[in-house]
Amino acid sequence: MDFGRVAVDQSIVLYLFGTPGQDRFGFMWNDLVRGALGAVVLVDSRRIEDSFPALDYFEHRNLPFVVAVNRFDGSVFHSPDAVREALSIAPHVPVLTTDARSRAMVKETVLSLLDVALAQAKARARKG
Amino acid sequence: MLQITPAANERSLMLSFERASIVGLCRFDIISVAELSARLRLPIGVVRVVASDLVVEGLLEAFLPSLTVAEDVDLITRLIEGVRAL
Repeated sequence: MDFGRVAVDQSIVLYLFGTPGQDRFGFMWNDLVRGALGAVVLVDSRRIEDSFPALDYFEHRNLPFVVAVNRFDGSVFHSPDAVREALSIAPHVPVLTTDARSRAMVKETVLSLLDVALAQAKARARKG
Repeated sequence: MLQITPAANERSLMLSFERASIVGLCRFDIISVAELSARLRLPIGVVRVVASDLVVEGLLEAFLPSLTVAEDVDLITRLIEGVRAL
């Protein structure tokens, strides 16, 4: 499991936990989602089908998530639209391109997730 | 969020490795389960279980925030501003 920790300001620390997406690692996900703000499903564009278990998992949970298609060597094998279709991703779930090695692109991915989280939190606040 | 109790001082010498490590880190400050998982390089599920055992046994005290993170519009907004500034 990968782990990252970022001090965002004086009083907020952001923790990032990563697991492989294949089915056999599913037992870890329940632990990680408890108390989590959201999730990024990182798709390997050379092995798109490996992401089915993770997508299935998050689509059935009430947790904000986005799908990020990871680039390798600067080239994307499939566009976000093609990935959305191939993986039958619901229309309201953001699908974006990212490069896990690029700080700027990872930041954009996290911000996309936080936008979804904010929208959900506001919707909850309106209800309650 | 976890903090050591007075009882822990007397009993900590008898704790096994993970339990001693967790109690040790809780000694100096209130610390979150996620932070413990990071510092000790233990899976977060393991830390949760061991820490809750330690709470039940009276060695640690647990504090819960009043709002869960998922409902906290202010926190998420601050987080967005903070991440943008990184």
